[in-house]
Amino acid sequence: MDPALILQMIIAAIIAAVVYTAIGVAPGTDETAVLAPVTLALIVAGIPLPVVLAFFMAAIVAKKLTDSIPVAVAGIPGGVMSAPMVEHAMILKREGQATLSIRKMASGSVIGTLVALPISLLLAALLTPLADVVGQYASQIFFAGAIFLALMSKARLISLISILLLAVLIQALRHFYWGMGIISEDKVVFISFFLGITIGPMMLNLLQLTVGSERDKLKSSEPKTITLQRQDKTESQRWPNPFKVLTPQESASAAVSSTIGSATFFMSPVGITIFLGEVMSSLAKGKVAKACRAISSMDAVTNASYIAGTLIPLAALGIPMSPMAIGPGNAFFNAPPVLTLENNAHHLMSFSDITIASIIGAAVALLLTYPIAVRYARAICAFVFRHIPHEAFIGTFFALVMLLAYMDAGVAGILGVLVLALVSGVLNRWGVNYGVQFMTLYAAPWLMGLIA
Amino acid sequence: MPDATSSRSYLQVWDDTVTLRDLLLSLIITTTLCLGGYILAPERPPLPLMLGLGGALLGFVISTIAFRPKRRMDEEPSSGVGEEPSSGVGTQTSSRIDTTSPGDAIKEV
Repeated sequence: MDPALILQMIIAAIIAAVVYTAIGVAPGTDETAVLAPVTLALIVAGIPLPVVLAFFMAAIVAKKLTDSIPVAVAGIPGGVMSAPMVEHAMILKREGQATLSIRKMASGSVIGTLVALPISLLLAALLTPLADVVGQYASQIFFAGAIFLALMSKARLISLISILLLAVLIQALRHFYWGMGIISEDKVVFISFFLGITIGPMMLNLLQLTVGSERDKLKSSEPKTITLQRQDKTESQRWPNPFKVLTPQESASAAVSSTIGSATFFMSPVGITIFLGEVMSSLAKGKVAKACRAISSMDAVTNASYIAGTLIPLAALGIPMSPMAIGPGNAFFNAPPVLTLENNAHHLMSFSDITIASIIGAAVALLLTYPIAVRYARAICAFVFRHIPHEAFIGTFFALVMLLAYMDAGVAGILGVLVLALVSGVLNRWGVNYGVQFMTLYAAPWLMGLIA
Repeated sequence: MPDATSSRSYLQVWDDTVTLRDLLLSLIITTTLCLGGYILAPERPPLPLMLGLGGALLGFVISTIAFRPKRRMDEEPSSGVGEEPSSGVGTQTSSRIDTTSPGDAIKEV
């Protein structure tokens, strides 16, 4: 590989590690919403794919390392995936063990990453022969995936119903664009629909503000109160070796969980995380030990399922066949006009390109973020909470989505995003997860073709 | 500092508190800079996209400087109960009390 390209990958990974360390700490920043638009923009801008992949890998590793920090320090999740950890982290926080909590979680993250990378690449190599078959039946597989994820979710019935409703809405909008002559018949609008689903929950929140009665529900007389736990100074000095921070049993649990989390790459990461966290914590005895076992294993699984969910479909299959690939990592599979389902990062990058880019991204983020996150956890949280207003995050992601939608289909693209975001935001609130909605987006043309 | 009179009431948006005025201003500033950069840029790819992304970044910086975060920070004193780590980390405890500079953290990697 060209040394100049490797240098670019390292630089991209460093930028991603720094930026997503801050985003990871910020409360409420959803993985899909903060990663998908940025990755998409980079790919559409023509940045070489290995560089974008290194950026992406560093971003997920850094974000996963840091989004559990506010859980330990303040009891608020830094992202969707760290929400299941709050309960266990609060036990440790009450025991005055926030520092221990951070170290256990971050070490779990490291183990998750170290286990998931080789296992994903191995699984990818094993699954590669399936690529042709999978490619032929992509639409049917997405449809089956949507049904599977719907059945696995808590809100089964509405999830199943929403597969049909969303498919109708998506195809209706496409035909509206074609019929009105806004988009030429040979072009299929995709990005603006994808983004519509992505920012659904945020957009619904914003639109609620325009309704008096709804706005009253969101009002509060007090700002959000964050109680920062002081970090134990003596303990935060040294650079902790993740394998020493965890007991052998915790390391083993984390490693086993990561392996299972990697192999179940096609399932919902949140579901797997909760399930494995409960299983592993039931093996430990004592309140603190149980909580430590749970958070270290959970953090390991979130890392593993994110890495595997991106890498396996990318290296082996060429279609986004996991909640992760179809969500945050979607741009690698479909970013028209640069990448399409038939000619995407899977086809354009060799197995070794993917391996090298992933290793560089993950390694840079681990080496940079892990020691800093563990030692300066409290300072990082305090900085973000004190100096970066939530309005700045909302404004920036809103603007990014508007830009990408405008590039996709002009003003009609922006309107499409708003319509779809309203519907998918409501569905999301009712428990229809991103996985179901994104799978439906892919299956929609085929599904509606059946009733035509 | 944002208005002290009109909106003492906060809003819960996307899991955090904001004020309506600052939120609207931030949305308008950032979206205008972002889309404006894209639309007004000379039509030589990838210039429009670059200027658009630059606009979004500029909007973020302006919002960060112009608006105060609406969060209240309480600081808890360092742990009372269970001072002794339960497992594993005992060997790691260092006796140094002073804070090390970030530079040292990087050197040790």
